[in-house]
Amino acid sequence: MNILVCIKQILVPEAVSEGPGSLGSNVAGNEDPAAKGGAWNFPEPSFADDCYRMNPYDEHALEEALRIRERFPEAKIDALTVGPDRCRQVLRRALEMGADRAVLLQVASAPRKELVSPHSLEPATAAGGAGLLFSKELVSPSSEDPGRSSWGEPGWPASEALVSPSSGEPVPPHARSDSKPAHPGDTSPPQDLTPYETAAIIAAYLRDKTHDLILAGVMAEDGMAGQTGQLLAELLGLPCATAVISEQLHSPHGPVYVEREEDGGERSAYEIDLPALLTIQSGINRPRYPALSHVLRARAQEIVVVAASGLRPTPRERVVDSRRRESSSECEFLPGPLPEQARQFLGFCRQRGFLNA
Amino acid sequence: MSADVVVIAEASPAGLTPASVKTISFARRLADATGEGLRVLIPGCFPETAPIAAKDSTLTASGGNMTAKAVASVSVGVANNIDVFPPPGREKSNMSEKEGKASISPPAGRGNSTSDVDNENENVARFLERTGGAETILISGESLAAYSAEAWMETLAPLCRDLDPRFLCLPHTSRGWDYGPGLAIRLEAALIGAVDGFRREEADGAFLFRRSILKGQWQQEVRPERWPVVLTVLPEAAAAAGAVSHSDAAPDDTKAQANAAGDTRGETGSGPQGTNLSLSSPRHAPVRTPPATFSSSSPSRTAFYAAPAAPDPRCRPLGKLPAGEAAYDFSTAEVIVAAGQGIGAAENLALIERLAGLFPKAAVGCSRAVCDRGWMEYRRQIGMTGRTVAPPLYIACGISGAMPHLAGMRDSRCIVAVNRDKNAAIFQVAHLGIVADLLAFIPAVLEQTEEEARRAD
Repeated sequence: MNILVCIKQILVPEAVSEGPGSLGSNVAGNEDPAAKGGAWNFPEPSFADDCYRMNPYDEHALEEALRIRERFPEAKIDALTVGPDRCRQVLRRALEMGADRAVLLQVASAPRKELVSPHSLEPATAAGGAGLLFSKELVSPSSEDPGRSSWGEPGWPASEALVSPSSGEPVPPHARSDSKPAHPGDTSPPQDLTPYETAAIIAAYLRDKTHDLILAGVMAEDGMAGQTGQLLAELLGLPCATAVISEQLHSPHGPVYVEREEDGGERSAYEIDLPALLTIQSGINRPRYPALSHVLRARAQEIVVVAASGLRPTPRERVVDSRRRESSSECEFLPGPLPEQARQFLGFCRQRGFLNA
Repeated sequence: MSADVVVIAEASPAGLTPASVKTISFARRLADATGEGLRVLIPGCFPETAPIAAKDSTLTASGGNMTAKAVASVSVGVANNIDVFPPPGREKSNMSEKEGKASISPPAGRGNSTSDVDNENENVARFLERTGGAETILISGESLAAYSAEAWMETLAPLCRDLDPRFLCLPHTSRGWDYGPGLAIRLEAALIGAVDGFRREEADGAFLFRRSILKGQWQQEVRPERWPVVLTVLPEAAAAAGAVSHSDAAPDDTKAQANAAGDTRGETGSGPQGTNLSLSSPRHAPVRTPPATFSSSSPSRTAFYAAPAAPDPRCRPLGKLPAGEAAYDFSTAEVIVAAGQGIGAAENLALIERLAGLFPKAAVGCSRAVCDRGWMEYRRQIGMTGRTVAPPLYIACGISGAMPHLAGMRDSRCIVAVNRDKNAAIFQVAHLGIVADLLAFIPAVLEQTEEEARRAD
């Protein structure tokens, strides 16, 4: 039985929370001085290693795969990710947790300056859906702009300090707090493909492979789309269930019994033939910490790197801008210090009758 | 009039779900912006192939689906023509606007005479009214009786291909999220998820759709690069006035919003969506027609579409699970104090409890992250996959305010947020913000109340 777990390396949301006002756009010529926060024409950003981690939902997916292998010891678990070289980090982690193999579908990143405007969609020609401007091929290799990224590249001026989420210590963007060397030549910003691009690349890679079960996290914590799994399933022609909160597999040949979470906390049960794809909701299990023996073993394990830039499809949607949400004008902030905040809070509640005067 | 915007709504036994109504409201803005029509598809709203005259089925009977009879009889009142679409064959081209529809007249004898039917009329009329007078296609079929992404895609992909809209709007619910991406692949469509607003680029009129990333602290604008585009739409998109630069909103747009807002209020308290749209409406109430503002642009039309049978589904629904643990009842609470990941450890829940203890009618809830860590039971979870609440006062403690949580509480009348991070997305919906460490703030509040009590003695 072959199990594939799709993993994403994410930018820790807290790492971005103190940054400047704009993650930028992948569309050239869209500079908006008003939107700056000084960040629009930022130098090539570089994040410390600990600003990245495995998407937590994918940890649940991998944990579920490991539990299936405990039931069916002959099962093999492949961990796969798509992205630039820095994504080896999460594959290493997957091997440490217990994956058998790790595959990096490497998509090169390029300096922002080479980004090309994709503006080509004329409303007139696009109207009515009659004149599709793009190839109907699901995966059409495009070598033109290998560096284009989807939701933009978080970055900020070199003078800005990052806060390391693990230590709380400020980390200068180009210095490192740990002993690991920077990936040579990799000053790439967090490059994020759209879910469709990611799914199409994985689908193209998997075309001649067989997996009985593909697991993915229900969404990525950074992009919050929750689409890649379903897109991949459909590209591969597999049945799919999302937000799986319980899973039972009684035979390696399936079917798999799943419970998926619905709105309002309700659950529905399904029986799904294998091969199938499941996206795993948090709360299904508690992901393990790697055992020391696995960590040591993982050091000797190889990460298979496949050049995947040629597998990139023509994008179907494009992020033109990412920026910090403007602060709400409606929210009234209570000024400090603490006792004053507490006093005003209580006054607020009394004034509205929630507390007895 | 061609329909440029198609909504795929979701129906509960009582009618359209509130999320669907809001999606329709959003879609109407889109339709107004493009100057073209709006269609609403409602899959699985009744089990039989329509229309048949069942004898004694009522809306309340199965807790499930609206009967064909009810829909058909109301359609007579609301629209003057009922069309029955044939199920699409493998060849799907015979379904365009002009051809392939068999127009039928309602079977005789299915009158509005019995109170039973009147009752259903009342409910179904309301159900259709909420489509805002848009052309509505009711989709039936056994494969849709219980939800599965496979069955919905099998039914909807060919139908959407024939309807050929530019925009396909789905509510961003556990369903829309589930089948939307696959549907986009089948339609070779662009896909943008969790949309909370849109605007048009001034230069070229291109549509840009806004969504949140990074726990709601950042927003991005996404532009479809092809048509159609599948959008999964968040409820706030219906009311996101600031986000929508389209200023010449039609009057009926406001009306649609008013409807949506009305739903929101109806949705307060706990329980599954739609429970407040009670089925106990007056039995002999007249059939309602859509408000005049809606029908002014075009007469509303209702059509039926029979879903193709799904012979060998690879994904077989086994049904809803009985709730293992009863949902926590938030409905009587005037104040809900909710704990988020920011509380840091299970021990600190005691502080949350003590803060709640200050209020006469308070309940304690939490975000998903707290449940996932095992700090609190899932029955107290508030958010998209938990309860939806709207108390008079909601105090969010250490909650970042990512979209799934906001979905469950943003209609609270007054929201107070306490968070260390001044950029936390929760402050976007809060009325009162306190940037502070919870573990210091709550003790300060408790101390203050004690001091006041001492002084009063």
